[in-house]
Amino acid sequence: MKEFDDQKIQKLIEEQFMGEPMLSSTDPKDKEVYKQLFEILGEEPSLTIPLDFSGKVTARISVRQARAGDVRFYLFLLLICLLGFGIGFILLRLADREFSMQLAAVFMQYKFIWLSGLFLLFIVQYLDFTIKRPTIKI
Amino acid sequence: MFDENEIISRVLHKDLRAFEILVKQYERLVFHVVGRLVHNYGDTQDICQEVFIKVHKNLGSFEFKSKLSTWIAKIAYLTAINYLKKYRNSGEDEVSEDMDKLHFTNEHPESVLEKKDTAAYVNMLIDQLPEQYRIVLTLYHLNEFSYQEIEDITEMPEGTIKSYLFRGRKLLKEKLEVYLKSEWHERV
Repeated sequence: MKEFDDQKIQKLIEEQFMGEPMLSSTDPKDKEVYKQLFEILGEEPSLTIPLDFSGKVTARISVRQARAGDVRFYLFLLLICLLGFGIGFILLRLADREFSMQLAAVFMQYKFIWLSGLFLLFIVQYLDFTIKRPTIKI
Repeated sequence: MFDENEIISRVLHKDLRAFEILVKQYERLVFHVVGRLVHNYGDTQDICQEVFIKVHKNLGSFEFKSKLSTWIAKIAYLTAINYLKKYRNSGEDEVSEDMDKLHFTNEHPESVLEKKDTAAYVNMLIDQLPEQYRIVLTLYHLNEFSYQEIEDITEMPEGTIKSYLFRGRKLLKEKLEVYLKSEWHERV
């Protein structure tokens, strides 16, 4: 019975029918406490939003975008370099086949140095992106 | 006047100023949702930042099937829940089937009475409820979401939402009744 009363009061307060005759059978104290509870639940609790929170969020997004842009730029640069070397090698091969073969042999002889250098460059970029990522304190 | 469609369109055209307006519009909602679930203020701030970064990243996939506030509240809710799953002990704060056995802190109402603040007392009680109750009460009463919207945000069935709301309010009412009675006795 009490459970039913609680249900009834909550429903009627929700629908703002406090003056409803149906409620006259229920305990007026219950009605009053529920009314007060609903008012409190609707009140905004004290909330501390840091000063310029929105500015700090956009600043963080801006830094992320700039970094993503940097990565795209470096990848593009790498692609251009590889294409440049490729085209240069083809032109050299057309102009002087023997010299181009010697050059390719030298390149292949030191291939581990080139590849290690390239790998190191990627590692440095990666660490720069992950470790040095700035954190914005609020 | 906040024009949701115009702001979304501007953000999608990489206008960060528009995104700042969007953050200002919804920061209170996000802080309410996250703050109700996560009690550490420092973590709440970090999670709220993370929520808006996710909003910015995924705004292109927003399909206008719901209000933007519902979509943002859902991201806030899921981010906070994921944080809780990651950083708290398993089993902690799970919903008790028998809410009548819910144990509130032993702090006697009289000690809280000193504050002379009923709202603070109720908010303290809410903080001790299981997270599902807290979030449903917050979304319904404070943010004024409908049952359907709360269902979209939390993915709980409407019946469960109604049940959490009813049981949560009943429990709070019982404690508030005792509190008010003590307050009345103290005045007399």
